[in-house]
Amino acid sequence: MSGVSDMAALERRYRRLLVWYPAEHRRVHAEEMVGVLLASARNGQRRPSLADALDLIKGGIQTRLRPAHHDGLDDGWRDTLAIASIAMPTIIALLYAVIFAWTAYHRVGDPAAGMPVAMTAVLAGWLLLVVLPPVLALRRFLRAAMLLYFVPVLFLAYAGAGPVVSGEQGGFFLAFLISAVAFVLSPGPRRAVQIMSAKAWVVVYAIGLSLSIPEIMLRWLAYMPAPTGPDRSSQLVAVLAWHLRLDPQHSAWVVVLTTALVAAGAALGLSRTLPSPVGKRLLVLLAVPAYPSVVSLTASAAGPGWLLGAEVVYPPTVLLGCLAVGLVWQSRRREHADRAS
Amino acid sequence: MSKRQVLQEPTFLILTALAAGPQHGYGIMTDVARISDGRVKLRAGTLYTALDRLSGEASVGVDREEIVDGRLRRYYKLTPSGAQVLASAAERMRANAAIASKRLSRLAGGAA
Repeated sequence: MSGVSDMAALERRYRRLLVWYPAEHRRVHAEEMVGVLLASARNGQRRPSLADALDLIKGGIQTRLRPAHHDGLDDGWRDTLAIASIAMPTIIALLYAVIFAWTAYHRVGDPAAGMPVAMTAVLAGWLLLVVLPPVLALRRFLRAAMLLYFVPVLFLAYAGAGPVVSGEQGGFFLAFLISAVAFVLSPGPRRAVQIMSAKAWVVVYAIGLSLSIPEIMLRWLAYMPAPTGPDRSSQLVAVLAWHLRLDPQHSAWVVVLTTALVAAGAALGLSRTLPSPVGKRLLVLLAVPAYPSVVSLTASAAGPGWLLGAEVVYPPTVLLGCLAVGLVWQSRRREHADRAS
Repeated sequence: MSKRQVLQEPTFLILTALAAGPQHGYGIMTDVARISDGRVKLRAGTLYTALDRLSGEASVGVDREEIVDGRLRRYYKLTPSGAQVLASAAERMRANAAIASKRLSRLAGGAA
């Protein structure tokens, strides 16, 4: 048997062993791994040694078990999720801080409400819980970070099940869920810090906060002295109109349109600071938690008779969910077609 | 991976090999064998699993790619973050070794 055919047989067998690795890993490393394996082979060797074969199988299993490779996502998604794993919790923290400041401001001097210490403690606790996971991940305490990413998700799913289902906490629940899933399926906050420029961070926070405006408005309305009305939605519109000195029929629309304009401006900035697939995907991820409050506010603007809750939030959810699945499916098909060609 | 966590020996040796400058996979394997005086023999599976993980943690990065004899050769380099991880690990090992040596010399002194 000639040396060339020995080498070809050995290469074929090594390639067969590489099937233990995920497709993405093979796409990136297969050629160089085969090169290294052949370079370290003995003259005339036709079969991989048992030690090499076991080492490749072990490496393949370890790589498949590692969270970043569970997904089969391309670098664009991995980077998008890495950014989301740090941007989302910090935007939630900023939102909590705004709501806290707002609540404290409006409760001062109201003895009946009396800005309770318990409320301050709860909000401070939540703030810590929200900020801690990305901080731990940046400090490389990955297991503790992963655990803490899921604590608010599980808490809201269990203790806050009612408000989540009715839509009141739906936005926060989605934001926590996206943060946790983004952390599991990506290289995490360290990667985000590595690829993001200061300008890109500013744009991401501008988008996050502009998309939070409807949520802030809804919370604000809940604490405002409200003129009595026939139902909650007409009260919301009336309160908003009163404070913004607007025609009651148009006030909530003004908030929604302002939010849309600010978000569109920020999205334009994002497309100029981050490469296209990452920027677009990040925008979608940041918009998901904002949408229950946008729908609620839009519904309340539609006039009396509309309720703030599940019935206005969930039908569009199903519609958008179907649309998202369709888009992901289409993008995956295009990806496979690109790789095959 | 925590900065305080002790690096496994193959990871420590891979980072040490790259501290000398960018190297390709086979170069890292031979360098690790040389550094460890032949005690640690890295295999391709272990090496690329470690390189992939270290890339994910931003401790190593790709320096350049070359085609040699029709085969892809990718050179890896140590990033500043990887250098920091290696420096912390080396410092910990140095401190531990110093304590061990001091106690052993005390033990030898007491026995004499």
